[in-house]
Order: sequence, then C-alpha cells, then structure tokens
Amino acid sequence: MAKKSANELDKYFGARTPRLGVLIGGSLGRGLDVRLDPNVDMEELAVGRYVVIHGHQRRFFCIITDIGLGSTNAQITGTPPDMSNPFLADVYSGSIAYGTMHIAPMLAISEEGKIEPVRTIPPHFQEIWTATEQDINDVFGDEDEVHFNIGAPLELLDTQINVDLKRLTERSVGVFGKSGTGKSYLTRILLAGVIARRAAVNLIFDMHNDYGWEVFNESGARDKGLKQLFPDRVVIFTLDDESSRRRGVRPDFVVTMAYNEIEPADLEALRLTMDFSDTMLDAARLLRRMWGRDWIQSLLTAEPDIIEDLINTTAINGPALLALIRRLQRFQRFGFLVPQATGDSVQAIISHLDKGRSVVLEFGRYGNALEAYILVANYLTRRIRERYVHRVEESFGDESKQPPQLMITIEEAHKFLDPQIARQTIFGTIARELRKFKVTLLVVDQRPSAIDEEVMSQIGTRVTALLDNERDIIAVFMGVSGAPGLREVLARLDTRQQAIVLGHAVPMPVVIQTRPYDEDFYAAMGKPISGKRVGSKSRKKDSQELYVDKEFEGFG
Amino acid sequence: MTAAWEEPIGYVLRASTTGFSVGTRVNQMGKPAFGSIVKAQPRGDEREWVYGLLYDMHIDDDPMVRQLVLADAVSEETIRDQHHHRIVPVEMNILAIGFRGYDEQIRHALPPRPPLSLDPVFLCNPDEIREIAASFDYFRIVLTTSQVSSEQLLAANLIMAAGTLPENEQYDFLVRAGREAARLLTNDMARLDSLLRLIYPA
Repeated sequence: MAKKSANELDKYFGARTPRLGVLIGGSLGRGLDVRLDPNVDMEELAVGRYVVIHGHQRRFFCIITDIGLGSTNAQITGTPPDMSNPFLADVYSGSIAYGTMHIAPMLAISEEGKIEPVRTIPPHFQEIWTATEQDINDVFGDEDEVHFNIGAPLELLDTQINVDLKRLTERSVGVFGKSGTGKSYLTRILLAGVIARRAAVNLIFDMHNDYGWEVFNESGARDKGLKQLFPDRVVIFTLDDESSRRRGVRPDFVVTMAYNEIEPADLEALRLTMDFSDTMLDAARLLRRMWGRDWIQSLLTAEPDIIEDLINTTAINGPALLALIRRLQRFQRFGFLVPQATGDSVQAIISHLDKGRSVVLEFGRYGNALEAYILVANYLTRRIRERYVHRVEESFGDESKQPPQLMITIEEAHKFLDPQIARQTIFGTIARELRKFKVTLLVVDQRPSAIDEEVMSQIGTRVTALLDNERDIIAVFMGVSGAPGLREVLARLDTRQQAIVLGHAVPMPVVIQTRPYDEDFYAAMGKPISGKRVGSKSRKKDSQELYVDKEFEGFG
Repeated sequence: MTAAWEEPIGYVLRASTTGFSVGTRVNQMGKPAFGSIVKAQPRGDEREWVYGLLYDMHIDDDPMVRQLVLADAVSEETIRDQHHHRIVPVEMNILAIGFRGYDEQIRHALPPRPPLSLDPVFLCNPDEIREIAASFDYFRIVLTTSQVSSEQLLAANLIMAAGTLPENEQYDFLVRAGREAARLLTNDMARLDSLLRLIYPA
C-alpha cells in the first residue's frame, strides 16, 4: 500500500492542532519516544493525556506516560548557556536542549474507521498531535442503554468516557486508591450507572453508610445516596436500626443473625482478622459435629466443668479451645447476633434482588468492627451464592428461572481476599468463578497488593485512583500491557476526582476526571439517556471488536 | 534614482564552482557589504543564475598607489583621482550558496557550472533575499567554508536577511535561523555561541 502524506491522511482524520512533536524511537513493548517541537510548552503537558500519531495507514491512540528533558550535546549540561539573553534562551530551548515524552500506544484507528488493538507501531518521524474530542468520541462513543458516562479524559472535559456496563458487571470490578482519594465516590457513580441502566442488581455491604440514603461530602454538604436517586430500585437493609434511624434513614429491613446460623466455615474468613488458628478452627468444626447448630451458644454458656470435660475427653486442644471461646465472646457485643433471628435475611435479600432491586446493607456502628463486617458479608454472601448456584443450574433446563446478574460490593476487600484466606472464603470463589453463576464482585480497597494474585488477575475492570505504594501500583497493573508507563500515570493522579480505568469495560486504559456527583448527576439519573457529545459521528461499530471475549483471559 | 539592486555592482573576474570574484570600482563599494547576497546573471544564454554570499572585499595596490604612498604630500584631489582611475579593480569574493534552476526554483547547492568572466553581478533585491532565506539549507555550505570566519559571515547575512522582513517577524526569523544553526553546530558549542551572540548581542 502506498504511503500517504500527513495532508492526505488529514482528509480521513481531519486536520488537527497543535502538533506536539515527532516520533524518534521506541518499541511496541516499551512505548514510543517523542521529541517535542520547540514551541511546545512542556508545562502544558501531563502524563495521562491522550495524543494521536498519524501513521501512514492509521491513527495510533497513545497515552503520555513520561515527560523528560534531552539535549543533543552533553556539554550543554556542563556549561549551560546564558539564559539571561532571551535570544539565546529561545534558540537553545527546542534545538540543542529539547523536551521529550514517552507515550504508550493503546489502540489504532484505520483510515476506514476500524478500531483495532495495537499490533504494530508507526515508523520514524511521524507527527504527534494532541488528541481531539472527535478522537475520543470515535473510541468511546455515545452514552446509550449499555454505555454510561463516568467522566471525561483530562483536558478534554467537553467529551465523555463511557464504560460498557454489561461488560463491567459480567466480570468482577476493582475500585482501588489510597485512603481519601474518593473510592466511595467512584463506586457510587459506578453503582448508580449499573442501577440506572439495570445492568445488574447489587448487594452492597456498606461499611461506612456511604451508599444508602445520604452521605456527607468533603465540604460538609449532603450527597444523595442510591436510595434517594432510585427509590423504587434500591432498598436499605441495616444491621443497626438505631444508627439508621438516628441518621434519618428508614430501613426496609433490619437484619439479625442467629448464633445457630454461624458455621465454622464462616469463621474461616475471620482467620486473619480475629487470629483464628488452624487448631481453633478444628475445634470449632468438632464442636459443630458434637453439639449441632447451637454449638456457639452452647460453648459461650458452658460451665467450666463442661469445658474441662471437653478438653479431657475429646481431641480438642485445651489452650486452643479457651482461645476460641475468648474470640467468640467478642461476638456478644454485636447486637445483630441474637439467639433467634427475626426473619430470613437471606431470603429477604434474594426476594428484592429477584424484583430487580438493589440492596444496600448498612452496618451502622458495626462498620468500625471489621470482624462484624467480614462475618456478615461472608455469611450472607455464602448463602446467597449457594442459592444462585442452585438457580443457575436449574435454569439450564428452564431459562426463565435465571436469576438476575448480581454484583456484590465489598469494602476493605483485602481482608476477604488475602492470599492466605482467599481460597477458603466465598469471595475468593466468586472472583475465580467469573460469570459462571451470575455473581460478580465489586471490590473496593486501598491495598490491592494484599489481594490474592489469582483473584486480582480475574478482576475484569480496574478503576484506580491515586496509589503511591509501589507494591500496590504493581498489583493493579499486573498483566496489563504497557504497564510500566501507566504506573507513572497512576502515581501522579490528583488526590481527588481522578482515576485510571482499564480492562474489560473500556476499549483502552483511560485517565478520567470523574463526573461530578451533583444536582446534574441526580437529574441525569432520572432522565432518559441523552448522551452529550462533540462531533457528529456515532459510535464506531468496529470498536466493539475490541471487546471480543477472546481478548480477555484474565490479567496476568 | 535607481535601487541598489538594479545596477550591477561589478563583473565576474574569476570563477569556480565554489565561488567567484567580482571586480568593481571604488565608487561602487558603497552598496555591497560583508554578508550580502549577490547573484551573477548569465549573459543571454541558458546558464543558471548563481547566488552567493559576499565574504571578502580586497583592494590591491598598483604602481601609482605605490608611488603615492611614498610621496611627502598628496592632495585630496589626487587621492580622489586615484580612486576613480585605479588601474586595478576592487575585488569582491563570493561564496556560492545556490542557483536558480531551469524550473525557476532556487536550490541551495553548489551550481552546476560557475559564471563566466564579465557576467554582471547584482545585489539581490529584498524579495530574492526572503526567497533564499526562507530555507536555511545554505547554512551548511557557509558553516563548512574555510575561506572566512563562517560565524561572522552567517551572522552578517542573517541580520541583513532579517532586515528585509516586517519588524514583528524579524525576531522569530532569527530564532528559527539560530535553531537551524544549533542543529548544525550541535558538536561545536563554542562556534554556535559565538554565532548567536553576533546575531543578537545581549
């Protein structure tokens, strides 16, 4: 195919301005090196922004991953020119001393408009341009029944990044970021999209009461929770009725759990949090076999002679048994644990989920007790998943019995998915099962490095706010091509309202300024879809090719 | 009154592919200057116009001057007469930097053939200067010449070329020229620094 000049390509791509520089080296694996034009103000550039290379046959969409300074003569660094002379300063800057940037190619658009993964790179000295709104729209398209606006790319705030909610919910999702970077805010936006478009029903284990009725934002104002946005599609369950009512929330269901519903398997998930040893868990299993469902209550009310008898007549290790009792005694401060449950919480949740309603379970004051959070989340999820598995298997013979796609949101996810317990907990199982049983996870966490690697590799979409711990950054990008460059981008995000989105639900990694969670957002949630866009082209049909399943076999 | 570029400033004395010498009278020395762009115009044949930079003006002695130098007192009238009636021309040396081909385009390269003796030589007019200086490809020829201080020559030429532009374009022109010189002299910072300071003293 004959090479085309930049002018000829502009007929297809549209003329663009300003030019940033020319391609001078690099590789597909390592990323590409660009020498900046002399008139480019380096301070106007930033990692995470998009640029476009005009190749001979296609546009290459790239993200800036690093910015640097170069010189053609090392001598100039030893004897810098007299920059007090403006002429010398203007001549040297951009000639012998120049700016560079490193960019990572993310995808390519052929002149026919076909969007494809990057499998090659443009040749030397091709021109690099700032990405335009039209470029972004060509890739991310309009908001529609499936695509939901979560924000805008940096510096192109008049356009929007739309995630594919169907793909978002069919695999597990991770929302990561250090403390105070707006993880709950990001999660709320994603959940609102999922609920608004009915992409899935949600079970949200709301540790800090961030999602249900309302939440105080940083400026002290009240942000509406999901229940206020979607009164008919969201129900609030609470573990702490008193706390809920104090906050003006009228919960739809007060969850209680009977001691006799707690199985030794539920304690497995608390192994790290409550320091249960193998011997203690063995003792619990033995007691369950001996005493039946009331084993916890029996143990907590047992007289000393019964304990002594147990130690003497069974294989239970004495110190382990005493330690187990001490740990189980901590449960007694949880008001939601009662001798006799007042209703079937699991059935109540499933009943709402079946009606297409999402359930927010508020923990009230128990949100500060991690063991309560893990116990309840694990307890409910185990039972809900069991019923889902049963129903999905039933639906193989009768499709009408298919349960709705369910996404379970958990916070402090590394406490559930630590490598030491991920294989034993229900959450590890769900993460590994992918979409087989129509249950996926939305994990919210600040320590992704503490999450089991296998689980991380199965998280389809990762939405990551600022992380500064090297191990966490590595964990988030494990298995992502071009990761070294993206690490730089991630480490330099703003502390608020910026995130990098990559994986299953977006055609390419994208740094976004998140959509404001304000009155406009509330209004948009109640309206028919009316995507705002710049330019006239509709979503490129071929962009769907980027989403084919064969492209995703898990990260890592 | 005729413009400076409408009358010949002299005629070719000697020539080679890399340059030529121009003979002129003393009273014609007021127009050309070190760094001027000149052109040798072929006389009616198919040869190319050859463009060059004036890099040297040479005034040789002659027998009359030798005698006058030894005289005790020489009147102003005698000196003026000597200037007007010198038997040896003033010589100007030109470095060839380009030619106008048959397609009327200026090429910044050594000409295919030198001009011939007695071809008239003109100063370029402002349009031609701008046309030549629109591209900096001739810098390499200038900077590699060994016949003169190339930084001095190029600086003088650039200041003259800038003078043909509107005032608000002159600085940008000099910056672009300076950057091209920087590209060519990237391994010789001392020469580059000298050149830039000649163009734009602090």
